[in-house]
Amino acid sequence: MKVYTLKNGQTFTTPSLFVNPQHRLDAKSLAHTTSKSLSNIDGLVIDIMDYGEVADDLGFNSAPIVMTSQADLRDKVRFIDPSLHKLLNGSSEEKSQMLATKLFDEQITKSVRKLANPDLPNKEKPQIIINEIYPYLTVKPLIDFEVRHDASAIISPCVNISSKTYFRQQLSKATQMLVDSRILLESTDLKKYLETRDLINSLAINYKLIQPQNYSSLFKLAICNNPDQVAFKFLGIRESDSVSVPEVFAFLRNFAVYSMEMQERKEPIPIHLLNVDELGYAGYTNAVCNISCPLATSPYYSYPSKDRDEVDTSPTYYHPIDMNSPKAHSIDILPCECIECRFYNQRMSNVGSKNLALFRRNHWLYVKDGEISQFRQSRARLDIELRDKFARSMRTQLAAYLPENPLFTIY
Amino acid sequence: MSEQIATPTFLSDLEYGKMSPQEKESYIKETLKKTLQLNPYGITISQLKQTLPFEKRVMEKHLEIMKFTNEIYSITVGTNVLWIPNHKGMHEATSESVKFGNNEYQVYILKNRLGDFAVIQQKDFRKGSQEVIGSLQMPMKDYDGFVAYLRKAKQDMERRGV
Repeated sequence: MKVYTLKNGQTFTTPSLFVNPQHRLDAKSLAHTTSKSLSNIDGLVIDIMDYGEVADDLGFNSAPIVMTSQADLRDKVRFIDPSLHKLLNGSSEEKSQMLATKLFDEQITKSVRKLANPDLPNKEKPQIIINEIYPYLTVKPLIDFEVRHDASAIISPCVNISSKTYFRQQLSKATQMLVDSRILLESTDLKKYLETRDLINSLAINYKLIQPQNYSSLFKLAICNNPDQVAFKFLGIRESDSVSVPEVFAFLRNFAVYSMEMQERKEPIPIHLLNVDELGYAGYTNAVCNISCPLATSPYYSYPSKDRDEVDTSPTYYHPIDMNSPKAHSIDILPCECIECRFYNQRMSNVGSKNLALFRRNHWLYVKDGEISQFRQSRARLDIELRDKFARSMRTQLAAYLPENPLFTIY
Repeated sequence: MSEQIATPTFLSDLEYGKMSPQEKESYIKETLKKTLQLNPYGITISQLKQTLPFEKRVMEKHLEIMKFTNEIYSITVGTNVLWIPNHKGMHEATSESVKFGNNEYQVYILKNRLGDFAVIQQKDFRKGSQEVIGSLQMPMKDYDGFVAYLRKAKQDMERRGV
């Protein structure tokens, strides 16, 4: 276990898990469970487009009535992620939500609407993004938003790196945005936050670009503005892709070493792995200190295919031993001892359809809190503890992603 | 005086163009300050004009303000005025500062090519610990006399019931 202290005095302890609430119900569930017990979840990562929806229920818009305690959500580490990849390459719903924040130039709004046209050929989309959106995309309004809403650190807004063809253009714009963030933080009215807020570079990279020939460019990008921490979000990754996932973890390990050399650090720069599920646990042995997970939902977008008419979106229930998420209606006896499952006498039939949405979220939070507690309190080395846990579950394939001799396991 | 001077990284034109006039002022001042710090032997306004993307008139205004707050000083070399930063020669006389209202006061010892000085800086800590808004500089040898004068002024005020 290692405790990281942010410049604003807040802390998180590795191995750490942050929750990414995206929906009002997520926020309600967090408020409900935190008031009882959620001491091992140290923080929240909120996408900028979801902030308006979740802030009220998380209590961010109101002052505490009584003295705050560690159990108060307002006291947990709070990252607000600009998530620009959702504006540029997200679904039409995500694009609309991003535009609804009104943080973008009018020209960007017009161009993003143009992108939503279903008749637009796919090969024209990157050109519209580069020629019509990039020239208007600034970082200041997004950083101001983060600061205004009391984020614990400043995440530099940055475009995603997702195209092999337009790799250089994307890299150039991303570098410019990251450098601009640092200069703004040092040279404008934001300077007062320089000593009280960490600067985090959050890069959204398509997993296909994680190739050794791109390491140098991506590593340089990640620390081009001398950040305090770095976060990675790998787009399009699949847990079952046993070729790409090890490549991603190799990338993270190499980056950790690179950051030590380039920044003359005695230990790697803190690395966050955003938008993952239990796959992120394997990251703890691959130089990652913190992961962020969406609440009780899969972080991976399911693309509708021709073989399947529709994606099954019926509610799931996180199985604490199997570590998978079967459909809630397929379970009767709940194999869990958490507060929520005990409340319903460990029978799914007692939950009822009205309470299911909140129940499965509360259950997920309690179980995740318990898992992190288990990792932190284990007397065994973390990679061995993880190997045991994966071996007992239905996701034994995750054990393959744990290195034989991990360099970066937290002891 | 046409040799290259060291400069910090500039903000992109896109980001600079979107700033409010007040933010631009703040950015120009910081960029000037950093440029001066990168060139401890001093630079002229012509060199600054050649290197920085700002108007000469605006830069001169900020240089005068920084001279007023004793962050820099100037010397005349022939027909040129050389602006020299004080940051390297300035050290805290005491690690403690005093705060009154929104202002913080601290005494520094300054050694530059013009001599040894005591500097009392006034900072607005709402704007961050680096924002100097006023300064008083006196030769080090006169510091005791200045403190004695302040004491006497205080006694006179008390005598008059102020």
